[in-house]
Amino acid sequence: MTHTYIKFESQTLGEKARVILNKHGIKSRLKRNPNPNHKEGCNFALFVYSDIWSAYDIIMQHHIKNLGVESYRDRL
Amino acid sequence: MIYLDNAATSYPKPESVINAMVYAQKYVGANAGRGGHRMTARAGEMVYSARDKAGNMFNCESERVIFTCNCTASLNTAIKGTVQKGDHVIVSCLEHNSVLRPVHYLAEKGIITYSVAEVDPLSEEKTVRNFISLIKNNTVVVICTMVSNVFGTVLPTEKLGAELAKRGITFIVDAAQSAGTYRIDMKRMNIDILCVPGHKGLFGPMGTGMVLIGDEADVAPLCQGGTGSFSMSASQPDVYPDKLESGTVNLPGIWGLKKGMDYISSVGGEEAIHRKEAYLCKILREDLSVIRGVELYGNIAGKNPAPLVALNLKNLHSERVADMLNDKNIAVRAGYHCAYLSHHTCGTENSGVLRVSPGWFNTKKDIKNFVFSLNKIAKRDNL
Repeated sequence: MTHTYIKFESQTLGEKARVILNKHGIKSRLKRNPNPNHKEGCNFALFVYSDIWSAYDIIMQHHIKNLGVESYRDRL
Repeated sequence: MIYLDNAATSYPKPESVINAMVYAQKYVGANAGRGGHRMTARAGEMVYSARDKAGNMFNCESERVIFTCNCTASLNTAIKGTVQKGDHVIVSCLEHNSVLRPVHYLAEKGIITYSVAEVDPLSEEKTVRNFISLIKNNTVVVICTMVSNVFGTVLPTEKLGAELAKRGITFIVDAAQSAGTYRIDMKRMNIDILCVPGHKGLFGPMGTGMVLIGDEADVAPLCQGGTGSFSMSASQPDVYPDKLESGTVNLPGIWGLKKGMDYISSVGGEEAIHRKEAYLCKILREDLSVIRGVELYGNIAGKNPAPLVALNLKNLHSERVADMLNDKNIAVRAGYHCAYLSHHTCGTENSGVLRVSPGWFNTKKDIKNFVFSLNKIAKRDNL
């Protein structure tokens, strides 16, 4: 299964995005990124329970700094 | 005890603040942003919620709200993170030592130079002109208290902010005595960096404070360390709030502070609080004016006088009067209030002043009891 999320450097920016999406009626959940790369270390992943690109557009409209959309596949 | 020392810290705190702190400590004991489990995620939501509340209250982006341990820490962060070698800084003559000492320290180290602007309590225009006249080619920052912690003098922050914005000079405001009592809109007032305590007018617990950074301002970190983000990099993150917020945050304090800010909204906002406190001060001034030997300080002619009253009893040191009031179970502050320049300005170096600062939870009866006790002291000493 493929998991797609919007990546944030800071938990605060991820929370800000989550709260704004919620105001737009889009549910999401901010988690510690379960798939960080070894160069960056820890960061935060916002999993959106609907179309991620619509959510991403809203986030960009609100000028919330983010590290783009990423995805990973479960190894199982 | 009749507590009239709210300018030092507000007391009592709303029940919601105390309950919130207990809740945070008891049920959300995880470290915000430092793990992936549910409890840490909840802690992160709570911290963000407080940031968002403060951002809305002061008109600042939520990620630019930085939590600190008090207003002094906020001011040190703002001042030391803004100036560079060779810069010139201007402060007012009514600054608290939390502004004067970091500025003077930097000057002693040969990093900056600074000038002190005189405040004319009777003319806002003249005060603004005094600041502007001190600007040099290398002036980068003006630091100014919004309300004097000693005399309650309200400085023309908005007018000064407009002038500084035209000149591209960073404006740092110390809102220690005004946050929670006056409506502060950082954008409208052209405030670049706002420093606030959590435990005074915002009703939060001690050990909390904030520095709020406007869109155009940038502050270098005083302290580097873990932020729970980008941990494989040796460099401090360049994104707010992580840039300035290293180490574990004070979740019970921050959650208590959030509920303190909510409390202000629930009772009608800063205007309602100011109205009540100013009313108590008006009664106090009227009653004090008929006691023989009382000398009142500060300008009360302005539209929104600060809710504190500075006074002395003739021929008695303020500390002695405060001690006698303490024996009558009344808490006020005396002495120099960590603001020596203010006393040079007003000629109270010898006696200090007695500061009476009623709060939201005080009543008219508290004021009458205070006046009764002070009157007895004055009569006993045949002033």
